[in-house]
Amino acid sequence: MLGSIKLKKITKKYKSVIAVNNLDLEVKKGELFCLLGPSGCGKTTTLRMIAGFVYPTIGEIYIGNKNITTLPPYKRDIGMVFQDYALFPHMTVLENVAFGLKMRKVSKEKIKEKVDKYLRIVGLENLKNRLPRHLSGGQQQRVALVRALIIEPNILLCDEPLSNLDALLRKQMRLEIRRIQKEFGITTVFVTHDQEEALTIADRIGVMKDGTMMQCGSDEEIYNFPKNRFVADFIGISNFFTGEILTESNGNSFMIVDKIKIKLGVIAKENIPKNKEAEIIVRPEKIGITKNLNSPQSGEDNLFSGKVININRLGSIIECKVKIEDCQDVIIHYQEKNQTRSFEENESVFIMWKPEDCRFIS
Amino acid sequence: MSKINDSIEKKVERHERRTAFALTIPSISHYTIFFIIPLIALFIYSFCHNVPGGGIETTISLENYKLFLGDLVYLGILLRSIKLGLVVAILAIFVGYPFAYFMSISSERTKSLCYILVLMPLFTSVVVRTYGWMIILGRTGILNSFLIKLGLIDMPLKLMYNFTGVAIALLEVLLPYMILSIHSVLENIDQTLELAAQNLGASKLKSFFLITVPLSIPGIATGFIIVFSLTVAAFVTPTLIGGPGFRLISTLIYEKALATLNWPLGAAISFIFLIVMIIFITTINRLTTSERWGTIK
Amino acid sequence: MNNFIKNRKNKNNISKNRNKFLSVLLSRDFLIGIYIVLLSIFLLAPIIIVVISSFSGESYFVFPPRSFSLRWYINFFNSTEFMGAFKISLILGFTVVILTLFVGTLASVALVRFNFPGKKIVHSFFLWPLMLPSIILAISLLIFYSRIRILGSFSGLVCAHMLLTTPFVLRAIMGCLYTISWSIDEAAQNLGANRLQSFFYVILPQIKFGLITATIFAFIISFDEVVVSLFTVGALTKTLPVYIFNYLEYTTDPTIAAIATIFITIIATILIFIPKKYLATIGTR
Repeated sequence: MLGSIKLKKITKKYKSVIAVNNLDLEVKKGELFCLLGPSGCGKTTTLRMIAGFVYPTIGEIYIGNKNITTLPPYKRDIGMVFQDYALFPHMTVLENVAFGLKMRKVSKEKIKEKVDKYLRIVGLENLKNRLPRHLSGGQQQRVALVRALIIEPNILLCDEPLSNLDALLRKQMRLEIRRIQKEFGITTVFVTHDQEEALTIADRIGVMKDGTMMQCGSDEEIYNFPKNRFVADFIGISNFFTGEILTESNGNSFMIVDKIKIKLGVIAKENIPKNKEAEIIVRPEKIGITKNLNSPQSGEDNLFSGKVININRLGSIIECKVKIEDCQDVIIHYQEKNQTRSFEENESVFIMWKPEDCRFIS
Repeated sequence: MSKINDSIEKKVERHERRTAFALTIPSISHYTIFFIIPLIALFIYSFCHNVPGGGIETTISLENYKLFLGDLVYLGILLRSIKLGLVVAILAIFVGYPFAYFMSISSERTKSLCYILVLMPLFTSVVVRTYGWMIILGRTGILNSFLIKLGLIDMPLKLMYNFTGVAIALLEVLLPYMILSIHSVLENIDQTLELAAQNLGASKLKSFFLITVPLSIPGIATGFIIVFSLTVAAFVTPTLIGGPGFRLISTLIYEKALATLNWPLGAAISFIFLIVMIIFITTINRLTTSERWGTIK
Repeated sequence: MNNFIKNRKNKNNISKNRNKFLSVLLSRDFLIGIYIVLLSIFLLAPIIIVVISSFSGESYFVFPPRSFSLRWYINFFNSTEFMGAFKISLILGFTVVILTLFVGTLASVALVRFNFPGKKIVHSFFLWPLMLPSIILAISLLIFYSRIRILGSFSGLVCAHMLLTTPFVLRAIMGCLYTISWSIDEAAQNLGANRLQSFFYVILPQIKFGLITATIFAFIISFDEVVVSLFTVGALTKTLPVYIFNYLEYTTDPTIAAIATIFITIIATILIFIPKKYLATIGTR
């Protein structure tokens, strides 16, 4: 149990602003948990409360079974990687990494041994006598990481550690961090505003907005079953449909949007909300697009005609915006397998998707 | 449960405040004891009666103030001090501005040289510099000998023990403050503004006077206030160059404090002096504060 | 210079307008150059005169000096009074520096890192002694010190000087503290250092620069100080500037020039051999 984190009814108020609102959170031992959200959503404040730099107005924080709410930061046995790395400018890499051990009064020989071992893990053993200002961003980041890990803490906290790196380095470093995290098996809370990052490395993600947890779950759950409009919009791209629910006598359910009827699948049917008016989303990669209807269509599918508004290449994926006849625009993502299958603006097309791919959001 | 945390947040806040308090206590108490209390003592003394030969009687009255304000000689001294302050400060603006401007448009190397040139006098004790001026300004001093040798004058100029000598010496002593003050403001003025004005048709001279000068007014004002205050309060230079016959407020206070030992009168003069200075400085501040020049308090 | 002469010689070969323009342009730069040189002389004149006079062999003022001699220096080193005053100024300077640094660093940390009610007032409070004419400061201390019977004492002098050095020390150290990213303090605490340990291991090394600047300023201010010292020294605690001042009131013995030159040399050494970056923080008062 040691190494799990529990936040109970955590609220943080600054005068009239509520930074974190009644948050309940559990992080399992060994898990890499991402706190994701736009700036100002309270994710950093939450992290800093776990670290001990901010004290909650209401609520308690547990690590394992220990209530650490009132402990000062230097007694919490937590490792933290800061957004600006916070390397001590006047100390070498060696001294920086050894600092935590020095505070714990570890013997000099042991310190030397450990520092060498850990620096080797991140490939920086040749730089141990360098000062931080002579290191690249990526190198500084690794030093910061190792400095936190070497004290063998129960928990590792990361405050957007990759946001100061360039895109390519970010992609490399986040996989590196995940690899190390799994190797050490250390419970980690990772704060980021980059959903791609969260989806790539996290075991579970907590999406926050305005101090509240909007949804908490694995990347699959969050992506495929977003619980509310914010999560659906923040993670990936969604096509939103709002309309009335109509259930026919034969058991089929439809959503009426403008002049079209969208057929809802089994999964959606099970979650039909009580109100007559509801909202569903369909992910862009679930929508197919074609010029003619030569291939046999399953009668079950949602099929509509429309016109191409614009078409763009996003790397390996093509993004196409289509206006459904008598209805709204949708965004479609597909990967081009056949050279001849490209569309032009104003071209008439047919789009389709399976009823199962409709998801209700509350 | 929430009660525990209410107090944690407050506890931390209180702890912060207490630590900050503890950290500032040494300096604040030092200031209180050696700055505030002496001033209060001075204030009280200004209302006391002086016993000739040392000592005071604590009979509260305004006699010292009345004595000073009723005496034309004393008021004349006050006026002279203010006149000296204004003259030196205004001269400092005109003498110092070009140098400050030169500094702001010169290369890094020249600028550092200028800095040393300006800082060097500041870091030397005023006693030393005044001594130098004594040598220069005397009847047989360097300046007079030089001018007589060149044949520009026949008789040595009287440059010591009068207003002129004191003004010249004070100007040199305090000029660095004016230069630094103006320079720091000039450094923050975008040099491309003048170029923009020239691009729009203004001559180099016009663009300087219409753009740079108004924008540097905060620096001029600060410099003026500093030089004015320091001139009026100057003691060493007027005493040595002005001599016993040339009395200013500062030398008057010295006289009362250490010569005639009339501390209550000295105290009263000090406060009158202080009030006059505050009035002047506040007025100058008001006159030079305007959104236009970027000096909003 | 040669260019100016050359252009004048070519006057006949250039059209009238162009000639006018050139000479105006040239003379403007020339005038500026002359002005700068004159002003530099003006600023440095007293100091230079003093230095030169100190080597003069005459016992009265003649400039330029007719002979060279070191006898005023010998006079100075032989005079126990002068050397005594010199020693006192040095010891006083060091004492003031150490105490002001200690007290000032504590206050600086409080003003930069902590939030408390009245912070801004406290900050400006520390600047008040500088806004007061030093003569008023002096007379108030005279009265106060005599009342509590420490007039003329060394500690009285120290406390008086500290009033004048604290604002500069505060400014130097606070300036340094503002540039620190405080996340290193948090990182240190996160790694197990309590607030005091974090201060000594992590924060203090960052303000080395400010501490050195503060030391330089505080020492120079104390060493140079005349007016307040004049009112608060005693027979046993006469500082060098006060001694020089008293001496000058009655005589113009060139020995003073020798002392003054030594004075100037000390200051000049500090200014020239300490890297310029420390002096860049002077800005305006």
